[in-house]
Amino acid sequence: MKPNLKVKIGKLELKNPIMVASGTFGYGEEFHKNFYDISKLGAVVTKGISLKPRLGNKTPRVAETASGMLNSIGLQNVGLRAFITEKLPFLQRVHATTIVNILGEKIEDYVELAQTLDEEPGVHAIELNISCPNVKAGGVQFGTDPKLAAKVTSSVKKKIKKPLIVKLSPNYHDMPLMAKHVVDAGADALSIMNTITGMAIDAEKRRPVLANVFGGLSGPAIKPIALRMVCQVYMASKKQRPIVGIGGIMNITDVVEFLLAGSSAVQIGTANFINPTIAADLVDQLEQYMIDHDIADIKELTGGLIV
Amino acid sequence: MQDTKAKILLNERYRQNYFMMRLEAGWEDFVPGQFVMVAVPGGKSFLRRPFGIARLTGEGILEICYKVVGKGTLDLSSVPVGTNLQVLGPIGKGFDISKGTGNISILVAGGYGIAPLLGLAEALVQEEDRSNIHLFYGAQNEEHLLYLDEFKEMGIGLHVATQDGSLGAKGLVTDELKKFLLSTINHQPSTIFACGPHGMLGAIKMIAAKNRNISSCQLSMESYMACGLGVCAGCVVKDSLGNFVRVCKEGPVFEARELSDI
Repeated sequence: MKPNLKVKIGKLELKNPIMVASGTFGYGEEFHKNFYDISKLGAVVTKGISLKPRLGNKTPRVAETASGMLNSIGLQNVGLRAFITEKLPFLQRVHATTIVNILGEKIEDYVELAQTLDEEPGVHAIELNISCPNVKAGGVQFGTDPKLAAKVTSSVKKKIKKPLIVKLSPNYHDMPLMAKHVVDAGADALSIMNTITGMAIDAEKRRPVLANVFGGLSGPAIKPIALRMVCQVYMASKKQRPIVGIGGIMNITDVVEFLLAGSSAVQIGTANFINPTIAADLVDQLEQYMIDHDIADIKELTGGLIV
Repeated sequence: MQDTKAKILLNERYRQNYFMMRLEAGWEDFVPGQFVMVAVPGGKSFLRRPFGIARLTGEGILEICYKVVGKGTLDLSSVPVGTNLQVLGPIGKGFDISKGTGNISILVAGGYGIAPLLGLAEALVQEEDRSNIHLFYGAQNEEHLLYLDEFKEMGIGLHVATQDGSLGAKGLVTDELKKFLLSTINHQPSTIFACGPHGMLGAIKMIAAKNRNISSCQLSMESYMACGLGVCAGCVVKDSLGNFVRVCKEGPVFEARELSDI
């Protein structure tokens, strides 16, 4: 019998738990045009959208590291208006389940973005990127202050009907505490985790490799940390919300590990750069894995870790 | 663009630290100036590596010429013939030869920037009078000049410069270009196609801006790159409006006047 891969993120039902991570898939056009029908994915999470277009950082913006890469793109994006008029119609036309990642410099930005996108029929859910500096609070990141993270979450949640996912930053030391604050503030689901701040140095030139000096580390190098954070939050949560596991997933075994650690769904990120068909391949491979392991429903895997 | 498993037919040292690789890609077509992203086997290189396409034969055999500059290219240089590599391509916007129809075509290369100009020259000789095609080619010394025999066979104008004078004129190739523009074609419409180090491209942009007979000056840009797909926004350069544009999507070939940080 065909196994059930459907999962729920708040009220939103995904056809399978394989999503693609913000910033690694653009707005979906390149993949759909060249490689596969992106409506096959559980969801497409768009590049982070801000109210106004953002130019991004100076170059070099990317650097390869051991089993991973650093990036400091600087959240370059087309801005809300152009997203709605130029990018969203395409996602809607190809029937992609679309989750829009949003970012702001102050709480009002997030609220305005979320409210506007909540009205758009092509948008199925909102993912809050809280790894951004809060301009009003002296530049401290929303994601490294549980009270601030809770405040932005509740401010947005009050104003929208669609499911709200909050993407947590690993650059805060107590992930279960952060998760509790955000869930209590109304998050329907948690994405765990964003990139870890790191740096690369060119020893010959005695200079940082990235123009921005620091960047976000991604790829298999961060997978053990991401698994630990998913597992910690899953085990510590009293009020259970779906967890979307993210961090260095490269193959089907990685997907299963994240599900076992407590994820209901996963996001494929940097692997899209290495193998452009990986996310679609993983949808097929996950179904095959379930058939081979006699698993009728994907929910059986979530939190199935034996400890 | 497609992601193809391609068998290595040739992977050998050409000269110095330059290697030539031929792959059975089976692709039908490409635009000179486009590039590929190659997955390097061995597990030490996480990201794919970008290389300009030197040429693509009628049988779909892809040729690239690369310099060993780091661990990725070092590992690539030891991959045996017969191995299958994942090759993504052809990527990006190549040279636009339709802009220069009837013009004098001036190709300018620095170092291993010559590779994409080989395919370009092969396309141009099909369309244009060979006496109207000129290659200006500069390198450190004679040992760093690649594909010279191929260009000689085409019967186009060859203008070589080496920094030590071991072959051709001694000095910078851009100085040779300036002399040529002053002496011969000042009143003939011309198109420049260039690939090479950043400094050389900057000098060419200045030369082109001062010469009103150069109707199009197309520069092939190099950049650090993660995906080659147009999605990571890692490879950007600044355009004349101050926006960042992607080398892998809007480029790698740009009109010089559309770029601001060169």
